[in-house]
Amino acid sequence: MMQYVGRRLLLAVPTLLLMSIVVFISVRLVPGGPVQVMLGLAQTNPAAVARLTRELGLNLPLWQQYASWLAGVVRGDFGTSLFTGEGVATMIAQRFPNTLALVASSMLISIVLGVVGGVAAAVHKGGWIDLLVTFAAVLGVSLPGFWFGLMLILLFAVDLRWLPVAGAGGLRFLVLPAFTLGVTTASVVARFVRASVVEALREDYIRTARAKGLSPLRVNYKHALRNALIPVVTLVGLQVGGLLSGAFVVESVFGYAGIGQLTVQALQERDFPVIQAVTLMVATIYVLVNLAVDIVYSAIDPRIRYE
Amino acid sequence: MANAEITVLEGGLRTPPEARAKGTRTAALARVVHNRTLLVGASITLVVILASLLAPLIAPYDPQTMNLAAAMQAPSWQHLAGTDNFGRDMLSRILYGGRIALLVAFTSVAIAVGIGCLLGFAAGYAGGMVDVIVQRLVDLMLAFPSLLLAFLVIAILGPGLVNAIIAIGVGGVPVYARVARAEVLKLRSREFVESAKAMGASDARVLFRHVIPNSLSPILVLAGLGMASAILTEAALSYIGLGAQPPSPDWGSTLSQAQDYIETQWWLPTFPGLAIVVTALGFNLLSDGLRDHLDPR
Repeated sequence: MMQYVGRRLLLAVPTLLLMSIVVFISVRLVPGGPVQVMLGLAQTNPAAVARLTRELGLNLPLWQQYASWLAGVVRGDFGTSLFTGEGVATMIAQRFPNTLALVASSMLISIVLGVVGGVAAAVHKGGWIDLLVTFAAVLGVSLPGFWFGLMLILLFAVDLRWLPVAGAGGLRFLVLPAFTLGVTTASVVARFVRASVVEALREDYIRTARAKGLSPLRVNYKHALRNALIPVVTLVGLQVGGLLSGAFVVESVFGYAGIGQLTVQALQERDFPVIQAVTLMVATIYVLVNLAVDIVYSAIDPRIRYE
Repeated sequence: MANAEITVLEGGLRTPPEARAKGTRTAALARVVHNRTLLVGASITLVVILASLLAPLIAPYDPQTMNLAAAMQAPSWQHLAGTDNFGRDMLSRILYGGRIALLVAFTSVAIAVGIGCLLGFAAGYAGGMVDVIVQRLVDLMLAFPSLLLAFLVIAILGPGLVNAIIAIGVGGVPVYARVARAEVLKLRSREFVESAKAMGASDARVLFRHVIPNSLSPILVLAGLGMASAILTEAALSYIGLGAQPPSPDWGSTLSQAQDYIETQWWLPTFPGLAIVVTALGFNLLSDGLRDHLDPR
């Protein structure tokens, strides 16, 4: 097991390094380069351009620029925002807990809704519960998260006045964004769980359990569900990427002060140090979560390690 | 039982080819009719495409003409979906917005399918170094959540509708590349491909004549899902100001402006959103039905 974990960790290193190169290069590909964007496209004074290029170290060879940028990143130094002059690491650190709370709570909502719905649909395959869950799931994947958020605001904040329209702070501010993000992800989970449980219910050991005279409840929940839920672990890991990028848009709807809102603003202003830092951070989290999921999966199902 | 089989077989052999073709077609049509998901999905999609194409003929007003005297009107017989703060007819804007949504979806999916399949087919068929390089590239792209990849492309190119199309297209490339490669690998060792090779067919002929046509169904299903996802992503990008810009009647951009009036004008955020849901639902149902139709297992 330790050998497997070690090998997987080692394999993640080149991916992370390649990702850092992509993020680093992407800013250099900007038409006119970052200096021109910082100075504004109207600014053509060669002296100003040359001075800023020197100040940012952009006159150095590319590999040297990358090495010093990466060294900073490893130390947690992502540079300063082009617009506020604030340290990017500080800006992210202030907002990250909010995003973490949002992603974690919406993941919980999506797992509960998705697993309950998916199992109910599979157990009653072909019945009206199945039809209802299947339709709700297709509807869920067709919902633009930001619009669903607007509709929830319209109902619960504007009409019923139960919850605040926007902002971040206590639990009250978290309910609507978490539900918005959770429901759209729950649809994906429900579809997957349904397929997985339907498959499990066809297995020989289920027939054996039924033949032994066990109650349908025991067969469905104890035997089928436990085996069907193993692949769901992987799916949930994959959803982290979707939840994180979904949070980018949903945070904008609710004026929720997380890294998503920060990124959208940075993209509009083309604040490159912020964009680079967030992209690298989210992609790294995504890779690490999937790595963790693989490791957990191999612990649950040892066959994986030998494939 | 055996007799019945023989009769069926003989019946099959005696049927003239054109009648047999007609029979297969009727059977295929019957399967489509019985596939409710496919039927509903195809109908919704068809209505949306027709409504968008015919927008200049069926829209009651010009989508951009302002009429301050008619501003902020709730839905009525005159303005079925109400009017916005500039007095523009919302129904007309939604109909014209559909043209943008479909244009973005078709072109971005075409980019994703085109580049993705090219990479996937090349990797799967050529193998060796080409395969290794393509695989690493695909793994790297998949390491970024697709919206993040789109953000990165927009960070480089800047906001705007064309750049959003490119961003969404690039974000979809790795998925198609992976599926196309898997399909080629699956088909490469099949007997009909082996025999084509044994008969001396060139690589290009084997690939274009035998491998690609047989690997299209999963790609077609994915492309349908990709259309729905492209419509949702474009709306999200335009909503946060990175895609289509005002005064475009784009659905996402319209919703972004509608948010300011959410407390008083409920129809402004409601109808463009419904248009997005219906369109995405149509494509999702269409591809779900198509998958069941092409792969009845």
